[in-house]
Amino acid sequence: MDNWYFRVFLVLCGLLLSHTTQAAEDSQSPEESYLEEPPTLAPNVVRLGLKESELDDENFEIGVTYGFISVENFGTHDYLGLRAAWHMTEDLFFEANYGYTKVDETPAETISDLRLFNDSDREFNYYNLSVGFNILPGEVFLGKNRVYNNAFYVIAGAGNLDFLGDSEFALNLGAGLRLIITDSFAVHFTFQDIITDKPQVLNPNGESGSAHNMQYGASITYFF
Amino acid sequence: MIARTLLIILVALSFGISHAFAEVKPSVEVAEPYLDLRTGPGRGYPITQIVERGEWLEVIVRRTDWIKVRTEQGFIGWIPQQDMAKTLDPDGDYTQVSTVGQGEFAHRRWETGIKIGTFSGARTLGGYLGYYFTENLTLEATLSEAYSSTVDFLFYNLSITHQPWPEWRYSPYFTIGGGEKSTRYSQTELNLSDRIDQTLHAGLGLRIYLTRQMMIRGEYRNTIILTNQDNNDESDEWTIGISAFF
Repeated sequence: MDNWYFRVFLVLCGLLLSHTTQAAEDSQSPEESYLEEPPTLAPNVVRLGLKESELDDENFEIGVTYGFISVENFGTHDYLGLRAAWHMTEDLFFEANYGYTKVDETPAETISDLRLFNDSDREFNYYNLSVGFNILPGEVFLGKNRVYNNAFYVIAGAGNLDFLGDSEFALNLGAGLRLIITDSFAVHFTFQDIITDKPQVLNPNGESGSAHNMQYGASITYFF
Repeated sequence: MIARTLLIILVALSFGISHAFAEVKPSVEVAEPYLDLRTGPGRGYPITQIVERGEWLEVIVRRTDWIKVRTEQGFIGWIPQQDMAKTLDPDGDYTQVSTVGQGEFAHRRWETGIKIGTFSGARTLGGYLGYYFTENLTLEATLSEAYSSTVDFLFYNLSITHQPWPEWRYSPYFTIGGGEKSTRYSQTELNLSDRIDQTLHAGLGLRIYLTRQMMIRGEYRNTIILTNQDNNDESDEWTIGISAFF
């Protein structure tokens, strides 16, 4: 009986020994050494390489504007606009703007029964192409936990103004504040002066001089 | 029934999985002793973090020449694009992100821009789009408008432009073409009616490479307006503009 126990014990010892030596031999193979490294807590991270074509560029901007424009001789009216911009460097961008409003009667028309202009002449349409400079980039803080990048910029450009049945060359000068809310959305507060020659119809004597149409507005834009 | 439900769940799951994969942003490993992270995409923003060699950065977006990254600790910052050359991709190669420069100026395919100037004393404003057949030859479509006090002109033109030395920073060119000129009179000119004439033009210009994808372009054009009167009109147009190429 004792002998039987002893025999089983020997067999087990032999098995165990052969197994451990086997394990020791295995540990010299690369797989085993890898397994025996101290257990690090490295998660199974999938890392993607950076392909330039997949880099998400956010240099173009489109959006809508709403605000008020003071049309010389015709009072102040709300306007709707579209804007598109291309950001070339951190300092420089190009911008295209389109805006539309419709003016009311002039005081002379209101107090008399005169009708000096028809409805389509009262439409005030403009577009312009400008170059802009971000002159004061910075950060703004909203409360304790929020920070947004912003820039105060100036723009200057030229364009076209359709008003009182006439197309006019128009210069535009302006400034704005851009708040980058997310990677894709921004809010702008803008001021612009659209300068043309005095409208021909209102200036029959051909006096030289310019008309200033001041506008201010707010825009929401999308970057892509 | 059960099979269909399972299928729907599977589809929904796979949708979720693919969505989760789409969220994985590309990463790069810092290969220099350290890199500075700024709080915004510009040279004036302060440096508030650094990342050390061996740390991984997740690449989020690029704005002009700046790249927004997230560190392993979750900090977000901006690094200049040229610093990407100081990082490695997961295969251990240096990351390559190119900037458009003067090298590409000589090999551009498309060109577009805006210009202002004078046309026989009237102010003009226009835009154009050009396509390069070869490095020397371009086909260009131009739309421009000229404004004077009582009359406006609208021009549609097609031109062939030849530049003998496309690789020069100051690159002169010749242009020749034709188009249409439409004349609109102001409402105060009651005795004149709007009309359309054909035009031919030839001109000389200079492209000056500025930076990145940008150039300045100045041009002189002599336009012959083919009227149905005895003599054709001739006009001089001088313009200067800013253009971008792709």
